[in-house]
Amino acid sequence: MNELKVIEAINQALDQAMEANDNIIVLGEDVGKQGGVFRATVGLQEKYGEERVYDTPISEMGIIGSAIGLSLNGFLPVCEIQFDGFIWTGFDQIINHVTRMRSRSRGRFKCPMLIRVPFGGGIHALEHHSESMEAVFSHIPGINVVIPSDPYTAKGLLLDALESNDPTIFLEPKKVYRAIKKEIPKEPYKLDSKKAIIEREGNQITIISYGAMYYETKKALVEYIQTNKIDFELINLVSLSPIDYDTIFASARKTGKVLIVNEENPTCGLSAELSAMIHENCIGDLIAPVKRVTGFDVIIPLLTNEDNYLPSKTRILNALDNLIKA
Amino acid sequence: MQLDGNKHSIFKNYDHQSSEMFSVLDFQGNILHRDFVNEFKEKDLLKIYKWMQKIRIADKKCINMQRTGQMGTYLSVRGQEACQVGATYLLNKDDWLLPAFRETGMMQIMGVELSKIILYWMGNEKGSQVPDNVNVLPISICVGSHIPHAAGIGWGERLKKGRRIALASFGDGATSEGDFHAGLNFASMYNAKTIFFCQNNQYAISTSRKIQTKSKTIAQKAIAYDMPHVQVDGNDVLAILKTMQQAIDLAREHNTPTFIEAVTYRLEDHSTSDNSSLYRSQEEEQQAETRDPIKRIEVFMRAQKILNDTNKQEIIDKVTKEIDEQIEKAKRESVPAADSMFTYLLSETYPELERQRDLLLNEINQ
Amino acid sequence: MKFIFPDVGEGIHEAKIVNILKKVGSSINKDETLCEVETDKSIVEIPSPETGVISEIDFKVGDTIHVGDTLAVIDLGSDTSGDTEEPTPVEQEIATKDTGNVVGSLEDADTSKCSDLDFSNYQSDSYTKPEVNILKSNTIKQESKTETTVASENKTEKLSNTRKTISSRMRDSLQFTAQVTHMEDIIIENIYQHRQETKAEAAKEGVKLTYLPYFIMALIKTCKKFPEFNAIYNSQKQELTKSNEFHVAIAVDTPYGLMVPVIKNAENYNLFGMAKEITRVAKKANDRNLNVEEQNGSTFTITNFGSLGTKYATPILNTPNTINVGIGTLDQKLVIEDDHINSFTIAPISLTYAHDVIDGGQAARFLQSLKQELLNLI
Repeated sequence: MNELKVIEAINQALDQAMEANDNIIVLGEDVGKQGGVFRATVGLQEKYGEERVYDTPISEMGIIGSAIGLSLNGFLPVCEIQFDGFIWTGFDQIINHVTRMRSRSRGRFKCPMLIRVPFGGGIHALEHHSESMEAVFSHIPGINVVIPSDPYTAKGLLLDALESNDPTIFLEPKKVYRAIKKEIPKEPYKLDSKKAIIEREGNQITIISYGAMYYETKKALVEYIQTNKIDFELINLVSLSPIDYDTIFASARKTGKVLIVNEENPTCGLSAELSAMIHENCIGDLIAPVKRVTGFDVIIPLLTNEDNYLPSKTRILNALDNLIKA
Repeated sequence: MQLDGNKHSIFKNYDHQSSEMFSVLDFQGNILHRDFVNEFKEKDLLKIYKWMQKIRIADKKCINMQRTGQMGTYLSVRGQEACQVGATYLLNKDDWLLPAFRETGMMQIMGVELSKIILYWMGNEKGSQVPDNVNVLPISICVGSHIPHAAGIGWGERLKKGRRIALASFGDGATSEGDFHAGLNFASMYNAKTIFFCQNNQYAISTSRKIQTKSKTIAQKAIAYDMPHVQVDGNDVLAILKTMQQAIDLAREHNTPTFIEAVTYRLEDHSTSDNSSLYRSQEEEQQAETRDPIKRIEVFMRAQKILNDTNKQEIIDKVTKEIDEQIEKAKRESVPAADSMFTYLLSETYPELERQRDLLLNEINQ
Repeated sequence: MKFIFPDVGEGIHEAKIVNILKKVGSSINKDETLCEVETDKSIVEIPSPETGVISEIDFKVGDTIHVGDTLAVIDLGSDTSGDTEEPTPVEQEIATKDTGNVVGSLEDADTSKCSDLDFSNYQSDSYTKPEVNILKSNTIKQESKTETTVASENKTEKLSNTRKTISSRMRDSLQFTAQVTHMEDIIIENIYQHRQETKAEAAKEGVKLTYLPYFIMALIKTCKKFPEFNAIYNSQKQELTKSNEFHVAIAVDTPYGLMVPVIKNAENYNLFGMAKEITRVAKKANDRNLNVEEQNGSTFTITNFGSLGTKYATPILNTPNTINVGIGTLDQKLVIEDDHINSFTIAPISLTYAHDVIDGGQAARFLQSLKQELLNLI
């Protein structure tokens, strides 16, 4: 019996990884004694000691900057950025060094590491705790971006990302940290963190989503298929950089209709990138233009208005229905 | 960490409120601390002097190369030769050097061939591709951003129970950046085998040290991190060497990071695109020339009868020849392959990237 | 009322009861702690939402409670006096209160059981992709045929009668006469000084003294020497009539368009008189009060665009006049004389003339003469 929530799956993955690889160091704010504000790292410091799990000073630039040094010197740092909105003080180190160390030295120096970030809205949190800035990260060359959507993908993708020789940003949709419980394999396993996952194959419409919105999309679908027995193809994008275009294009060409659902600000977003690429490469097979369901180009509101920002069931179903009938 | 009264005397005795900056020779090259001076052997002094001349002459040639269109923007180290040699001469060959962008001499001493350095300033990434046994990181342009890296390396080295030291070199301006504080805080917190070396050359481009920070010394910023620190005369190579000897002991043997502020002067413009006459006077520059670190060590070495006109010229001729060979080597090196921008991005490529690489290659072959 | 187990934050969905501080039958105040629960993160106190008497507690220590379950029932209406019991002393210090910096919320009821959604048993209708393509079909609903809705509509209007008249006159003038314009800066320092000294006095007499009367008077004098400049040229008949009288047409910029009132026998006015007359006709023009007489019969025309800021222009002949004298914005000119630099007020003059009857040389000489007349005027 290994029925775990997302946050527990992450915890299990970290534990198993640290057991297998002595070079893994976990560092972040409040990750040690307390086990992280979401309890992702609970029990790790107790088990592996204070020299492998660190409660760092409050300094994202210090966390990521020193992680670069640790990585250069042979360790595999797993940084936790406490909340998505706090990553920016460390972003300078990411964009100016983490992504470039290999390229600027032509492979002589590299700094593989995992940067874990609670991501996205929907938990009625304080300001800066609900960001969806994945497009910014995907845009930078030199770093991979991965996003699970449930306990099974969380553990498998995390373990796979830890084996990469490249740095990875691991976005953890906090809305589903505790919302989904699933029976997953107890022993370590890997899911290809560069490949999109087709959860259901179909011929009528391609639905692409990721993160917490993947779950919301599924909920909307469950309702829709009560009365419309559509033959949908459901894709969990999983890898935001690099994007698995092979899977996406094959699906788009097959169905001719594509619906993309995420929670970002639409302008210059990841959905815009997907839409452009699908049109550029698959237009001969499309029946209708790609449809995007996103947030808005605004700052995500605080809890009293947050639900109006995030794609609601209504927003998703309206778009889905329009596309089905197109 | 209890500082040893002998082995760490310089740090132990330094008090920013009452101490002068630490010197071994005075501005004219006369001896201030005879006992310290006696530790330096003739063989070493000649090597040290040779390095200083090599750095000076190479620097001049690099400036000329820029002015004749053979190189891109170049940042001179003239006037800072004592810092360059003093900071690195006593390190081991496998210690880490994290340069900012005014460490040409330090990089050479730590094993990076001058030809590689020239390639970098020519705009060729091959210049940063140092041999596997040389632990000198690529030049870091974002001011101060490499300082936390040094903390991480030194921290990791301690965890590994290793003995290598990480030396980060940076200027007075860098100490204003957040990364400086994050780096010192982490290094101190985690007992990193790190030495933080600040070449205070009085200017961050046009911004004079006086308006960079209100702190009376830069060294005292380390007090906040409970880190041993000292302000040293950055044009006195013997003083820096002596200080580094103690800092190395603290890092290697005691996992104690230190902060050294070396007070020097940037004799040239900030870069070959800069014009320092816009913000500093000729009088000031001329005054600084009188404190030239090479002149100073020469006075001392001549007084000790180690240096004379003959062997000085021999040294100059020898290093000039070495430098010219390295310049030729750099010029012979090819530019990177066009698609190398794809090759070194990640350890594992992916289809879209390959497609873009093909686009470029097709374009070139047209 | 039912005391529903609330959202305690950070995406928590369930908790374990570790301590119940009240008994059934005891009263409880609003915000008073009813029980303590343990979540994934810490131990949390659960306060009562209301004041009343506890009539039911539906869980016991050790049970797991989910968000949305009924924890207890509180009787609001009861008179609590006399029912107060000593509250059960708190057994232990409340451990780490969850003061996490996140106020979380719960998932919907269907996910509070923490289950995932599965489509493995779903049977869709069969579907074949139709032979349609976005590029060829009308699937993309065209935006309404009207062009950009952003810009405001262009409006088309017919020309007013006034405009029509001006238009045809201008075109005829250009079509039936060969027109050339000479431009010259004329020093009027003396005029400038004189006006400065005189305008106050003029104002006392109700006269608005501009530069125009000076120019007219000088022009009259010049025309006396160059009669073909004060003449009527009939291009149809190819006849030129030099005039002995001087009727000056003055172009006036009115709200209704260009009007050209005529000052008859301008040679009879002195400076102040001329100024008064200019004011009078200009007002009539602006009031649209000019009759036909007052708009015809000129022997030469002046166009003053200086007040509008223009220096030079190519005024169109007010046919059948042979000249149209354009006067631009006054300017300063620096002249070096004997190692001194002097500054003079100058008037830019744009003289359009009918080359049919006047040659360039004549026009040049006319201007030189005009210069002299202006210098000698005062």
